[in-house]
Amino acid sequence: MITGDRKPLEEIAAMVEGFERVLILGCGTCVTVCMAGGEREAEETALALRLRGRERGVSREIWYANVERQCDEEFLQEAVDHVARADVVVSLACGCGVQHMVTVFPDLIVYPGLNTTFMGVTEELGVWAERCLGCGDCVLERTGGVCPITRCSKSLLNGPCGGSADGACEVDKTIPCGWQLIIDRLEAIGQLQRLDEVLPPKDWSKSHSGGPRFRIREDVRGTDDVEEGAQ
Amino acid sequence: MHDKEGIMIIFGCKHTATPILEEASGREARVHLPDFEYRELPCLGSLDPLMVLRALDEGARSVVAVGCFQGRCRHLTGSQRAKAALGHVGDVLEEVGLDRSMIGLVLGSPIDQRAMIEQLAKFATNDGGDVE
Repeated sequence: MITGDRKPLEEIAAMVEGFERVLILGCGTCVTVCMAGGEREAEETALALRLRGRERGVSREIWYANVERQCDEEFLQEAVDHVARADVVVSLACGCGVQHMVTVFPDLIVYPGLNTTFMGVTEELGVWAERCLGCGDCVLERTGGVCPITRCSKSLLNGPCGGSADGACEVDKTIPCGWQLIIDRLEAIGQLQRLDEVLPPKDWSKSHSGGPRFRIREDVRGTDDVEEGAQ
Repeated sequence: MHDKEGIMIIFGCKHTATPILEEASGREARVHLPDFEYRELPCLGSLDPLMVLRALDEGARSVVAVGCFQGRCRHLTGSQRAKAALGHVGDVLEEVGLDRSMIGLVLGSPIDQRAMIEQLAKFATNDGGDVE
């Protein structure tokens, strides 16, 4: 899932200063799971901003709504009535949702209510941890399913470094050494010989370095061109 | 929606707070406490931060949760859960520049009505406060 942290309420309040009708729009997928930007957090944000406004004698309409996914237009259409009423929308989705909002509603002012942080997993109740950087060149088959890019603080492909001690990372001793995790895992599945392979320098051109990336399925994309009646 | 303007809203555990604040002895509580509205919960563990924020949004002057002493909860962790929920609400209130003493937690025993009402009165006269 994509995780995030709600921006400080004062920062959100400053963004919407001067607007009369403020919609807080939650997103029902990733940021709901990590309890940062779902329906509950949208309501909480709206309530907090209303209380803040009342304390300061500011009268404005602040309400909340939620859609299943802000990164899909079909779900965003469910928010049309709310959006039509709003002078400004604070989106509690990740950065993808915010950007898709402004694409789908080009005349709308949309501000981010969340700082998008990482792609990760639920490690335990209330704890989420980073697992994937979206590097575009996955090596998990060679590293026992443990990602050296995110789990090693230095993103080493041929670790561990000299700072690994007692299974902990030298950058932060509370973090397990990513390469120790890889070794332990390879040992557990009988693939320690994988460590004999030297991983070549990573092809970062498949990552973000060349601008925004696209994923295209031509078979799905091309259906508009199919002539009527064609088999 | 400010129809609860100026009153204290009490969220209470059915087992501990209801006998003191709602049933026969509830009349006595009303003598000693300022205007309040009682909202019963099956256990204080079901107190949701949104309930507290909604109550404040309705105009409540303060919100207090009343439940069992820690370790005496029928559902084991109700009071701790309520404390965590109120802690979160307090953080939100502070974030927007409001006093977290608008909310409080009063823990007691259903057989010691006087102590419970005294604590609630103290919370009310201090205009809130972290009473436990």
